[in-house]
Amino acid sequence: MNTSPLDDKEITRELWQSRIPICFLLSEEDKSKVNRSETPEPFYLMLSRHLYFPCIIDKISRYYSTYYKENLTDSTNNISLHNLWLEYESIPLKWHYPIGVLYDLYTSSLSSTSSCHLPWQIIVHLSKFPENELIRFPDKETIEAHYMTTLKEADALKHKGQIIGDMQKRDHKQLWNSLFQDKYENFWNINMKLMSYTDNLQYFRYIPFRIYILDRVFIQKLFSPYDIEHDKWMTLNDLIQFSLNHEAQCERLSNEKEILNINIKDYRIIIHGVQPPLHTPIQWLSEYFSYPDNFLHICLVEKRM
Amino acid sequence: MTFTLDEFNQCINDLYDQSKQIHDRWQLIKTPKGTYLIYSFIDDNCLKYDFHIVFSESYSVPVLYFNISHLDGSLLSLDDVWKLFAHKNNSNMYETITQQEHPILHRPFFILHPCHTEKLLKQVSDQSMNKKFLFWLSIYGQSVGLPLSVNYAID
Repeated sequence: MNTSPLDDKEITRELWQSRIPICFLLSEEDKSKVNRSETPEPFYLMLSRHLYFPCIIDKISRYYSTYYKENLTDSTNNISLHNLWLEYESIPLKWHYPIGVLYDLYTSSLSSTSSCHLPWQIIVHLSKFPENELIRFPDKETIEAHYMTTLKEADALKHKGQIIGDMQKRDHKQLWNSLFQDKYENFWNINMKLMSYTDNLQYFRYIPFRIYILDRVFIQKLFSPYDIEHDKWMTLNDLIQFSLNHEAQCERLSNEKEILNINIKDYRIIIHGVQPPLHTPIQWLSEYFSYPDNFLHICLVEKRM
Repeated sequence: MTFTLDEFNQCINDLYDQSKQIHDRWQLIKTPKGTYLIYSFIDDNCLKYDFHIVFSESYSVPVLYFNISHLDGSLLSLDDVWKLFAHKNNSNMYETITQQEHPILHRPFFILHPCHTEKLLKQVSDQSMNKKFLFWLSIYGQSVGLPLSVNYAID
């Protein structure tokens, strides 16, 4: 690969700094149960693309608790911070996906116009938690555990878990804390170990990735970044085509009515809000374009006709 | 010490056959995305347990997914589950039981994290594939209330 390591590092820094402005609005249903004379104003936050919504649950909780002082523990109303969940265009947002992934997937796919979707307007619910669809995140420790789980899975794919297994517990803590506290250098001091190679390979064993398409579960497959037989590097195009073909085949076998469209040209391919060239080697993308959980989260959005 | 997908499928098919012979409750579910086992029962406290044994491609080991619900269908929270099994586990609960999406059903389930499974299996690396599988199931299953008849261990 012919890119300069210094330029590549700058890319990781820019990605780290990208933010999304979000406007939180209380749901109509919960507004009616407020016991103050004025209803809550919308409130705005500028959030990092690679963070998770539960990271700011304290801020959201504090804001709304002032409006529901007396009846937050009132179970007849079912209004409770324990039941907090977020929605965009009638879709409950999965907490355990990074904020940037949710934004890229839903705002590109769902809005009626192609104009700017900023600030991103999200509805806050304090009742009727959709238990069968969403995982509950009661606190920061849980989201940290989820982050570590994902990171371990990424290392299992890349290095059979050898690198993360050899790390000290304090290194694991440093990864999460620097992610949470927005400390780029502290994060990458440890993360670069996870980007190294093992077993005399010049690449990762398998690439950790997930492909998101609207109204579908995400696609994750085993995919090697290097084709030994033909002595060539696999590209983003190769990875996506492989995954779409494989997924469509599964659907045919289970007699699904609507089979996935496997024509890449019909999709926009978005990672971190940008569309990388399809001929980019996937090994490079995995090293420089992954999220802090070491996965490549790729959104496929169907182009409008 | 890991399993290949074929070895895993063989083990769960064998367990299913044994289950039928001893009139136990395991069910085998085949989908294009993978085959898995389900075990459901209701305990004396009217809690419904659903256990799923699914293969993890990323770790090349079986993983135990489970949900516990009240009879009205409402799921136990992570806190409730920790309290339920606290006496069985010494290690840090946050590391062992977490909530994740089932890889085939894509609904929230609790899991016992698989990152230590390979190390555990090294203890029985000289045993047959089926014995390794049963060893894994007895250790992980026991810590979350899965009843496993001793009859499975008898050849």
